[in-house]
Amino acid sequence: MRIERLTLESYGHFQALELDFPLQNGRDFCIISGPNEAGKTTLLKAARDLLFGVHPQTPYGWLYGYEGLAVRARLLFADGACADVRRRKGKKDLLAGRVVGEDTVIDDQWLVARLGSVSRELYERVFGFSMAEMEMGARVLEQTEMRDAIASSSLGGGVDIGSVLQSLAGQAETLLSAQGRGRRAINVTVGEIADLRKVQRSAVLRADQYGQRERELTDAEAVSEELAGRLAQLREQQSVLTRVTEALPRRRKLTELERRRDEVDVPIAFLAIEPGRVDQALDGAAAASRRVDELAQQARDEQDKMNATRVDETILEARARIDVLHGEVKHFVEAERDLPIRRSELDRLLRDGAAELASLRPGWALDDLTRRCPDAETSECLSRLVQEHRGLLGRQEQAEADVRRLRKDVGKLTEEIARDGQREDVSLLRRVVEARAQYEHLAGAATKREADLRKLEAEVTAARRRLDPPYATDAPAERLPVPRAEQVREFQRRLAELAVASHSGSEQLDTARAKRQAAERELVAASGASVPTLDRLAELRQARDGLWRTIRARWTAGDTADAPSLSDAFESATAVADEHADRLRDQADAVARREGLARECDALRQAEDEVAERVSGVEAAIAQAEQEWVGLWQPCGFAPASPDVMLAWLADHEDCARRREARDAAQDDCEHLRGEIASLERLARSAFPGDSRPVAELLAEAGSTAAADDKRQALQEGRREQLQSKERDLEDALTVAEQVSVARAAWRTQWRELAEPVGFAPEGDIEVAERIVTQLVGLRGRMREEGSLRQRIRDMTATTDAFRRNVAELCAACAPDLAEVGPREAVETLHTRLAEALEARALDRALKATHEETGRHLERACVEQIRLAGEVAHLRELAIVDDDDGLRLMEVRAECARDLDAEIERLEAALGQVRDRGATERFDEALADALARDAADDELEREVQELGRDIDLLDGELQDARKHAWAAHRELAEVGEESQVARIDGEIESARARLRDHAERYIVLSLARAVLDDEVNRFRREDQPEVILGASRLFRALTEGRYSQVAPSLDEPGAIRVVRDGNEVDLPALSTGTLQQLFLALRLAYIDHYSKGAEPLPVIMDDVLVNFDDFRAAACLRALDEFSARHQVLFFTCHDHLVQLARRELGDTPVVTISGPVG
Amino acid sequence: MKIVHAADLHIDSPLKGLEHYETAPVERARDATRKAFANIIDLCLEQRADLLLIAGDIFDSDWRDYHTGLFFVAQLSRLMEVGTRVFLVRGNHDCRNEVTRSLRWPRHVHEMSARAAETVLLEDLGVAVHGRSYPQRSVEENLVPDYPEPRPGLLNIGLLHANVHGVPGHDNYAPCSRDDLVAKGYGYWALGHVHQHLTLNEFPHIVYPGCSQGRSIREPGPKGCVLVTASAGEIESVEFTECGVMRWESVEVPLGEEARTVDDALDLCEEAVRRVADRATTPLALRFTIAGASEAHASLAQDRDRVVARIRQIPIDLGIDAWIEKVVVATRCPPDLSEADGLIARTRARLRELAAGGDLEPLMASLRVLDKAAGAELRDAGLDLTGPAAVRALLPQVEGVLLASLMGGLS
Repeated sequence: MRIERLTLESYGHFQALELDFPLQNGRDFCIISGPNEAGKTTLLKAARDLLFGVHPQTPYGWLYGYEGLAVRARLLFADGACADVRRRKGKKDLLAGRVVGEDTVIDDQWLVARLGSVSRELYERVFGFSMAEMEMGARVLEQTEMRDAIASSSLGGGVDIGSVLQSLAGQAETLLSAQGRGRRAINVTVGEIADLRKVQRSAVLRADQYGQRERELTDAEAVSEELAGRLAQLREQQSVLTRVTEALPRRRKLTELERRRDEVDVPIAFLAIEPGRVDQALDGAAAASRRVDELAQQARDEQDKMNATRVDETILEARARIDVLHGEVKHFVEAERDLPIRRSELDRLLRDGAAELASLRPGWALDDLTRRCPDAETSECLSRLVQEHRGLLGRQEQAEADVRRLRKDVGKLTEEIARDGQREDVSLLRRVVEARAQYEHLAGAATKREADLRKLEAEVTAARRRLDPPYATDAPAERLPVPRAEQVREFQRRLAELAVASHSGSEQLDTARAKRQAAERELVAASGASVPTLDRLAELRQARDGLWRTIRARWTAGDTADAPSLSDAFESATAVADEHADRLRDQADAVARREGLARECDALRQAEDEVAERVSGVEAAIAQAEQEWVGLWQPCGFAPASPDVMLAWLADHEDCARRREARDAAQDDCEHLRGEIASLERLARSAFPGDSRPVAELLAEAGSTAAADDKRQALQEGRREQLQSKERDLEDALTVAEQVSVARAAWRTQWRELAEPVGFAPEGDIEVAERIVTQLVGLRGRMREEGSLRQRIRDMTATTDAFRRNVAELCAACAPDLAEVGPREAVETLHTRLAEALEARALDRALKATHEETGRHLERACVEQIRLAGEVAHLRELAIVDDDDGLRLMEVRAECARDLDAEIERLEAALGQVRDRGATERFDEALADALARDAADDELEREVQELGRDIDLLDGELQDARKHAWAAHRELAEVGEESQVARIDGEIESARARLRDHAERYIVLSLARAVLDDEVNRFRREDQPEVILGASRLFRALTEGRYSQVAPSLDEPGAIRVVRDGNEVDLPALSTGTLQQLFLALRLAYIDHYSKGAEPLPVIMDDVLVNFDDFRAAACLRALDEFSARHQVLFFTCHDHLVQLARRELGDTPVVTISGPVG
Repeated sequence: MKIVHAADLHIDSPLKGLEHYETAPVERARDATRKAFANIIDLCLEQRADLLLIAGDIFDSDWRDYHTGLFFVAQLSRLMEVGTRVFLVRGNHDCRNEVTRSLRWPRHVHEMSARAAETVLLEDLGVAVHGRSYPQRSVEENLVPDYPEPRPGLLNIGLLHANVHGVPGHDNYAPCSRDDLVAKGYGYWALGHVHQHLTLNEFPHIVYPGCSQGRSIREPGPKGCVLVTASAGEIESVEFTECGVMRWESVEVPLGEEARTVDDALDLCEEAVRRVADRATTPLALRFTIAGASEAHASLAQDRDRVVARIRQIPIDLGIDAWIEKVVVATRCPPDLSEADGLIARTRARLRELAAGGDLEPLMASLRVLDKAAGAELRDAGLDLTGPAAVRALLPQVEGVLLASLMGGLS
């Protein structure tokens, strides 16, 4: 496929840009030149978008919008089909077009199928060249030493397949090691799972284990209980003995106290009274007497103070009135201060209002303002009428102006229409005009197709020449029944293998022969006459045995003749044989070596025969293959050269056949186009009978005539439409004028109704009236303040008068001395006096209450004094004494007796407590026993300590037993709380999940590597030879023959080598420029290879020669020119010197110049 | 009367496929089956249920740890507080379980006989419970005909571990049909064995409560038990209650033209997580499957580890309690990628041929080392390397890695 014409309707900064890429002398090489930022990259993208679709987020709609973004092209396919296609941006139906000369409608699916389902990615990687790609490709070649460069070229050359394979393998190896070394993820995880399993097995609790634990718990609890019982007995024993030890001294002391108590004599009745009661009674009687004296003196002092206090009752009676007046003092003072100010304000308001009214309405008084001034509603109505008045005036003026203007326009248009005449019949001319575009299109297509035809003719001729001697026959070369390329490749492979096998066989035969001859020479050397042989020994022994059989036969037959000689002969033969046998033994090594050499010679002879047989088989196979090879080409009528040569010939042959088919198609197209053109010419001449001018001129004239007619007709139609429009506008304007007139009449009625009541003349200026009314309404609003001002003055006067009157009355009632003082000062004085009176009354009341309380205290003190005197008398009687001293002595004796009783009681209680701390019976028995035997304290303590030691030992045993039982109990209680086994199971599952994840990754990486490896190997087998052949040819051309060959490496599968001057050159030794040329050759060779099985596609190169010197660039241009005989090459550059170089080297190469944005 | 019906508890059976990672909510998932059963007991206490019916598979068959059995008994003992009586049958998983055979049930718990179907009358509740435990793991015959005839005037409840109508994905034990169960004349069939909650019929009710806790991505959605309300011998309502502590969900993330980068794909993942989280009331275990033809394919295949890490970060960023169980990247190249000649096209064609049933045996040789090192564990993890099926399922990922490499990715 080639792009014949590319049109950017709207794309990037281009609009309606049309570019032609014509063929030139059978070469499809076109240079697109322009400075930086002229839009070369945009063109390049547009070409790709045309073929493969516009990306949804393309940036090329920035100027003209994304809606109209579209690219058109005419495409020519290898089978001769020609298609006009248009690509736009959108969601569906993005590509539309038609095959020229057919009814086939083109859509995306059609184009994808025609392009061989090639994707944008593949196209860009394989068919697109840029400087960056060239540099990257050269780098890859240099670094990887061309390993798998051919396979890589199918990916665009930027991927190092060896590295990819290595990377995949490396990643897989990080996950798994076959030897389990290096802590790989999978190995580690498998180990973790195994470890977890071990832990889990030990954590499992089986049912029988649980039962065993239950039994252990029961046993431990029984032991604990038995020990606890024994310990309790010992502890009780120890407790009794301890209590006895504690109780024994107390018991002895108690006995001593009871004896002393019996010696103290006190009356029982006196002993019953409370301790200290005697002192209390005697001291209380003395204190009561002192209290009575003090209270009597206090009552007298209080009576004196009451007599000295005086209270003013008159002023207290007027308390309420004084408080009220005191509260009004503040209001009185404010009223006195504000009255003159308010009066002055009132006067000023009346004066200003009268003056303003006189200016607005002369003759009106202020009363008229209230009575006659219009209200707010009237004022608002008046304002609205003013606005309406202004609007109506404007509308009336506009309507009158419109009517005048439209009447004038209608008159003018009527005159112009009258001047227009009748139309002529131009239908035939129109048919001719309609056919004009088709005619031009057909003519252009015919011209182009004829050019194609000429080019194809030349190509066919040139291609046929390439097929000429020595293989020329009478039949056209391209029609020869040639074998398929696969068959030829098969022969190539077969013959190559046979040649290798033959060569290898010959070498092996030579080697075998040389070895055999050497062995034979060695055998001869080892077989000297002095070396005995086994064969000789056998012969000697056979002769000896023959003599023996003869002697025995004669002896049996009784023939004794010649017996001595026979016997001698036998002995001699025996001696010779024995001697030979002795020699064999003596020279055993030499004999063995000679025998070994003999066997080796036999084996080598056999091997040589086998190799010879194999070589003859290979030679027969070669003869057979060569015979078949010639037979394969027999239908063509000539003997073939080698398969390598014939493969190249076949490629040329196929190219020739394809070109001839294209030429035939072009011929058909040309004839078809000529027929259609002739039909259109007849139509054109029928429109101009007798006119002999060229058809193109007739078509042009028909076009101009029809265009003039169209223009005139459009003008007349426009005038008629204008007239109708103006007439409609005139009617509308008259209607508006009438509506305004009616509205003004209605307005005047409203104005009259409003103006008369207010006193304005109906014909007066409404705007002046509206302004006066507005001011009057404002003045009336301000004069409303007068009333409220008068009322405030009245209220203030009344307040001051009432205050003065009330003060005078109060002073007359309770303070005549204040009659001459001002009202404010009088009220303040009265308020002070009231406060003083209140204070005096409070003091008087407090003194009276205190005096009454003192009287009550005095009375109670007298009663207490009498009671205490009686109690002292009663105590004397109980103590049986006559005075207070005797009473005090008896009290001392009673206190002593009470102390002894208390001590006895305390000891008895302590003994009781000791007794009650444990078993009482055993305690009583033990205590009685101790008293009876008069036991010493230390003796008892020793017994207690011995028991304590026994208890400690037993307690230790008990604690151990309890710990054991508790541990068993806790263990059982924890069962079921959490299962460690389940937790580990969860961890195992988690590890398995991780393991699976690692394993899946490993599988993916391993399979990816294996599949890629297989495919690379297949690529090497099936595609590499042909690509290498092509690359070799191209590389030779690109380097002007300096490098003669690109060939497969004999040492490393997939690698290739380059040859210069008959010697292989290391790739790192190549210059960067040469590596780039090599990369270019490989890619172009792959494109050739690819295009044999698919639609050839345009190759797009973006300034790929800028790093080359002129010599190298010229070589590349010539190679590309040669390449363009098979593929369209669009060469983008911004360098003028490259354009000049191309013109110099290639002649009239088409150059499309882009100067910058268009439109 | 309130009845709680549960089945397939599989206590202490681990959750499968959850890979531990740094931010995974490990504690939430620990003892999930135990917590789910404790939730069922809580429900009984809260509702003061009269009956708890457990329709088999309380434990796994090979489970030997007595801790598990004692936990189960301890939980059942809590029900004595409200007087809930418990009836249970053994299913195919726990019929021969050593733990269940040696457990001593509390007095309010009754295990139905394995010799023949038996009936327990509960006169105070007006209920007759019929049921039979599995005598052995594989019960091939229909058990329903041997169940006793219904007792008139009572609510007859059948406790049965069976596969009704051969529900796929479960062994076809005690096979029977819905008509068999309806014809029996019971008021309620409390079934077990199928791990999905199903109501096969109403009046009479034939109900699978499903398992109490999903244990792998093959048991997605809410799991729990059913709460049955009955009155005067009639079923009034049957209500499913979620008791599982972690819900499994599959998150499908289809990528299209709009997803051009890894970030675009992750945005879609985040949106998908939001949608799933809106529906869930419990913590989640999520399996992501990112599929579809997208320009982000190469980046996703290339940066798989980073993508997985970022997806695991999504729930944390959104404040959602979720465990990312697995991320399956099964994306494809955009549809317009090369179908023409060249190494990529050939590789893709080969993979298509393999996916369509081509001979994988030559390639399987490269996996022998893996099989030898971890084959047994991988089989337990559901990845069987002895056959081609598991490997064939990974071919889309193989294609992803290869194309990412050849388009300039890994190299």
